[in-house]
Amino acid sequence: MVMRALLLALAILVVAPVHAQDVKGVTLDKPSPVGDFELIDHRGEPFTREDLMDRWSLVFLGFTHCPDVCPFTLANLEAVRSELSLLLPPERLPQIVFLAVDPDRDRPVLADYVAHFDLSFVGVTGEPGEIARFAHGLDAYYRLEKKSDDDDSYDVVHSAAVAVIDPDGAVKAKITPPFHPHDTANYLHLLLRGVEGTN
Amino acid sequence: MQSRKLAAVLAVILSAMMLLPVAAHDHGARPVVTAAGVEVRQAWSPASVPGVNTRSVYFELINGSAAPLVIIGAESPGITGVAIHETSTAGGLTSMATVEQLTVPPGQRVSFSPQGLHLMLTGAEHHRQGELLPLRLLFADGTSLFFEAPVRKASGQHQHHRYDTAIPKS
Ligand SMILES: [Cu+2]
Repeated sequence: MVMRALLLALAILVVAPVHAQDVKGVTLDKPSPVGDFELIDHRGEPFTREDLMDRWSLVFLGFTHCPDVCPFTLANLEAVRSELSLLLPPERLPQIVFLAVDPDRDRPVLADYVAHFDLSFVGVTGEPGEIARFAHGLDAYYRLEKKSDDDDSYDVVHSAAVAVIDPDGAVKAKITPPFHPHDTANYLHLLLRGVEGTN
Repeated sequence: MQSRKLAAVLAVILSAMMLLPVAAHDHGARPVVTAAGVEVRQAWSPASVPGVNTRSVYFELINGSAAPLVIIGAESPGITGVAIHETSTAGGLTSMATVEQLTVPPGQRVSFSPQGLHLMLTGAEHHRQGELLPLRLLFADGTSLFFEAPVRKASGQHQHHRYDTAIPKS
């Protein structure tokens, strides 16, 4: 573990000045496991911690009525995934998960919303308590700013970071904006290789 | 066991976008001059999906006039709410706040751009890609400026560049 961490540190130190100028991130030497939760994906299928196992995932938390930050983050994640597809075989590409924290407004449009960015994206939402459990596992935060019962244009304050989940279902890294696609893809490529010890 | 955290905080670079000349790209706004030299350029609005009734509009507002330009709001036919919003990210949290008015000094421009300022439309019906969203900016001196923002898909790599920049002499 120490050796891996050192190798990873070295790899990042060596490569950072060249490839990853625009990436801000924190890599955890000791990944933080995401606890159990029960959500529903955009197709209506259950989505639980099991769906995070045996593959890498990038999880971004937001809401579909978010006009400014969410569309650009999701567009960047789509671009990151397409950059990564040049570096990794399809089966090793991370799945991109959008945790929609505003279920009243998100549920009816979630399938259309994620498909608008990329057909491979997984949108998940559900009961507020279960959303909170997953968000907690990601060390993320959100708050609905609904002012009254008929307020349908409220803002949702939320974490800007994207959580990188390892194939054991634990948070391995958090990256923060700007998500420059090319540099973020290089950073993730290194992270995946470093952890898997294949470099 | 190791509880040591390996922090890989990589450099942050602010974009040089703010240094682009104002004539860079025009995405189809059709400016109507209010005071001489006041114009909107590069207007656009990200496409969304049916059922999402919030919308943002981005553009550059150039004050080429000799007086300060004070924006007090905007309107759009058929849309219930238009406000000036500013997105900010502090302590890892992102949120939007209303900006009551905004002054553009003479010879400067202001960028309404992703993760900075935007016009926030609420109660909007669905707009297809390629449609033009009609908007009117309202100024404190009673004048206004009409422009149209084409609706197109948000793409990756947008950068934050909400800064007043002197208009290059040409
Ligand atoms: Cu807004």
